[in-house]
Amino acid sequence: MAESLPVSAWETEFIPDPDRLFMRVHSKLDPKGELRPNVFRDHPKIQGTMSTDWEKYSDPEQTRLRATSQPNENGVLSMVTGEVRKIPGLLVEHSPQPDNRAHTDVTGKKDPQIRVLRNYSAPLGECKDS
Amino acid sequence: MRLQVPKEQRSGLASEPVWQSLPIELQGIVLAIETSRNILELKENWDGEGALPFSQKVWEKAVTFLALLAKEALERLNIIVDAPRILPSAEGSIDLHWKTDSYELLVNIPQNGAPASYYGDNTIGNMPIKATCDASKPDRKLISWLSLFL
Repeated sequence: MAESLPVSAWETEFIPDPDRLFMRVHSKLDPKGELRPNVFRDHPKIQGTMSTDWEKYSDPEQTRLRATSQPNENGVLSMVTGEVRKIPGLLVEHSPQPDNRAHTDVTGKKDPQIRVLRNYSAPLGECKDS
Repeated sequence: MRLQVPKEQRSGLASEPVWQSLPIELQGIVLAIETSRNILELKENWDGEGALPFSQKVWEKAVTFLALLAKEALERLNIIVDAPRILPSAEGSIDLHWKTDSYELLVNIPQNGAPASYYGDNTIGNMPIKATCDASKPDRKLISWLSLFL
């Protein structure tokens, strides 16, 4: 019998355009600490999906601490939902997980054009020393 | 004058890669390439989220693309290409990223056999360039576009 995936108890909600999304950025993506287009990438385990957290249910520090390992090697950036939606081909969809009500997917192809047109984001903080 | 690479770094190579014999005018490109070797030290799950490691093959493909681009631009048009940042990207691919006061350009070199893809524009946003290309050859269309800013 196939193993069933955990089903979130949280309802999926519509995210208003002015709301911010938080995303972890690993320090090794750019050792100089600059925000470069390579930070906009799909989750390594989920093709086509960039994982973010909706500010309604998370703050930047909570997002940083959700790193499965090495939270101190992660910084956090923010994106305005409406600005992300303006990028052709990108969709913002609340996708709560059992242990993370804030979880939100940004789906769509992250080709070089999409990643250069990324002026919807801003860094929120430096990585913290261990 | 040519930059020389220590013999021990050349061992096992059938012929000298183009990025190991660039002219001195392209020293900035050589430095960017040498600095980018740290990408090869990133092991599986280097980001704690399950990211893939980077193969020697994709790194060589990326730096060869850059070296050919810079060499061709110098030889054909006598222009010196700015040194990009060479960065780890998604799915074991490598990004070459230029961001200057006049233009921005992003080239992605995939880990598989797929062609490289790029997108660039000036800072006003009215000179876009977008294409895929064979990373093993200098891309003349891209060089012509770069020459507008150099």
